[in-house]
Amino acid sequence: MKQQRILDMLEHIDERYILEAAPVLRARRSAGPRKAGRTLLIAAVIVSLFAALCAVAYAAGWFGLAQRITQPVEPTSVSLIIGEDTPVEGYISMNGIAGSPEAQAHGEWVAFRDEYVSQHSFSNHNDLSWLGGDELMESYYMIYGAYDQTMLDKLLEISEKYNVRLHSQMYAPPTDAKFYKVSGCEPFVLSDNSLSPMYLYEDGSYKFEGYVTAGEQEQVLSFIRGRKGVLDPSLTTVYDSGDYEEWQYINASGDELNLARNTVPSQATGDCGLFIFYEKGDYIFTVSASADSKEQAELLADQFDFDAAAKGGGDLDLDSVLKVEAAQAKPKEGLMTMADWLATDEYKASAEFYTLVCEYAGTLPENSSYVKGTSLFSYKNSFAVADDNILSFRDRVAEEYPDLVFPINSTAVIGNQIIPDGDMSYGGGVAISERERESCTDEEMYELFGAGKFCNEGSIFRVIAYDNGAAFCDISAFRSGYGVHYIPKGAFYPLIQPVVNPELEGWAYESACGEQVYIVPSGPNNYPVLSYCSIIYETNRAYVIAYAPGGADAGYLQMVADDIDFTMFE
Amino acid sequence: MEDREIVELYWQRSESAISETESKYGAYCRYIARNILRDREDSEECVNDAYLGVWNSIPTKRPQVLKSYVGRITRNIALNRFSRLSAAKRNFGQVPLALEELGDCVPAREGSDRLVDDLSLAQLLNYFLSTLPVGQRKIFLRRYWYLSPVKEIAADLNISESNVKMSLLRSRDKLRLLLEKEGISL
Repeated sequence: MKQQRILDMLEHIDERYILEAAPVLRARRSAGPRKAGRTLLIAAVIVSLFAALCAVAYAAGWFGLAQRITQPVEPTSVSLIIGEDTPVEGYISMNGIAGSPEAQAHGEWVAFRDEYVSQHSFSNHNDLSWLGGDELMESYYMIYGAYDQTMLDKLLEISEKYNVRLHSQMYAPPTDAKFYKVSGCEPFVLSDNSLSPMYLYEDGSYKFEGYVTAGEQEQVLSFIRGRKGVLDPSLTTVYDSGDYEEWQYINASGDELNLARNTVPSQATGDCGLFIFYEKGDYIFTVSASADSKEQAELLADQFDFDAAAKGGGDLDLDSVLKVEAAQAKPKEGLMTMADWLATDEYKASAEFYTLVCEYAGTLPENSSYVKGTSLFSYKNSFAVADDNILSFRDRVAEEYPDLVFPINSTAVIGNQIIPDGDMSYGGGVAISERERESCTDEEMYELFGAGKFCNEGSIFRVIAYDNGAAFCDISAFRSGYGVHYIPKGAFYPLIQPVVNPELEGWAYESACGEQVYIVPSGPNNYPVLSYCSIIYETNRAYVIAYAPGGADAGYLQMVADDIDFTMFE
Repeated sequence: MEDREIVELYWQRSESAISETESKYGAYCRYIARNILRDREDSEECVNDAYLGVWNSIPTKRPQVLKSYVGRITRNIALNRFSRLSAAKRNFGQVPLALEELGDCVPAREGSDRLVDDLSLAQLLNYFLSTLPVGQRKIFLRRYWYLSPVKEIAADLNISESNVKMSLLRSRDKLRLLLEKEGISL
């Protein structure tokens, strides 16, 4: 097919076009109300005077790019392009003006870290045993990338030398709503946008990334609020400040901003880099974006209400989000924990079967490109169409667990299409077939799963239901979705992935439906073996195991737990 | 974490490079894979394969823009996977529809036209894209690079579906004329 070649060759197009057309991946929000009575003012500054006046200017409220750059202690270059070294002009600290303790500490840390990691290898970033279980040090390790004792010592030394604090907690809000609730900040973008909160630190510093609509354009950007007095762990490098034009601008919300736009397009993206700087109280704001022109830069600046962005903050009690809130639930008597679940025949039989199938199919990490565990779903199938080897594995497990009822057939619905018997394959979920596929409504999918519509915000995408009552469904929701396994007691269910980190402890959580569940984080992911987070719930008749992708934080897991009405499984 | 830092993790052979990539670009990759494969689990496997592809290629490569780098690999793997499963999944995903539409671009004249190598065709496609207005180019790439459904493109860009279809029709016509003008046979 000739047109296939066009589709294939599009793979090689210029990446600037790929980035330009990148989709907005979150639901759009309607634009918030603009502040009334504020007049758009434009204040241009003569750039040639800028350098000479900068020291005086900062005192008068002007701090542009030059005031944000801290030069490296020693000449440094990086390899942005293979075989070429690009000299580093300096680094931008997200919370410090050049010369401030914050900026000096940041510059020294970045320079040290850059050099150190280039000269050392770190074989296992997930092994934290050398930290002796010190949670604070583990936080430093994670937030600052201090991968060994030398780096950690240097980090602490710099912190003391410049009298700057270190971030101790980082929270990745799963939703905008959660971010605003925890941070106390208010929505600050006035136009359509897909900005997502990336992290929130304990001192109210945060970062958003995504697209913001400015006029006819959607522009990808990061929006960072950095609090003074802390060592900024981020790395923003400047190579060419001489190519920037700078000016002051009062945006539509009346915020006095400093803008710096690169007049030379990036070789990589074709975009002209743009910084928008703003300072309010203890916070410094840095927007990193691109703009084709000064007008476009100002139009983009008009989309932000920095007053709203500056709200909240202070010292946040992230413990209540990350740990305490979770731990506050007193486990009810008989609450099923991970250890309890792992001790059941239902889990052990499923895990054994799963492992046998993976070994047979060559999907173990050492001999396959597939990550162990994710290939599981290639084998969701009734045994009726499985090959002799699969059947022998089933029989072997059945002999070992004679009390379990094994399924004979299954029904699968994927994307509202019923997959006919025998059309599930080992290779990719759905086998070659000429058979017609009937459609199926969401309601019918819930009915097939056997629990009614149990999720509030999520939407059902896939159901595999076995004739022994066990079932799986896949829910599209939030950032990464989640899945639910329903395993009647006494039933064999072939879809449980062996737990990679069985030693991990979880916590009891009172979910929104009033039922208490047990939540277990994923623990370290030793690629290519990825583990999953689990939410465990037990009824009189069945085990319900919801799972979320590895790396989901406590907030995300609790949100998933809140999305599920566990009473529907009774 | 900035792209450069993530790339650095790959160079250090740190497993956390994968989780950082997943954290930053997982949703983006899944979007690409899912438009092509439609199937969530296929897409998950595809994205994991893409991470492995990134893992295996850095080093020696040092991509400047990780997003498009991992996006390209994801798209490539997803299309290959789709090819293998196409007979089974012809009712799924956007690829069959996109291919049908791109049939408009195949020059009518055949025979004496020159066959071009992949590099030349890629260069010509880049040239073609450079001639499109930004909005039209975005729509073209959303449809034929990201394999986004027309309805979704219309919703994202706040225009009607018929506008999207009209824009795509014009772009395809323009590409066909360019291929004919260059005497290129696919």
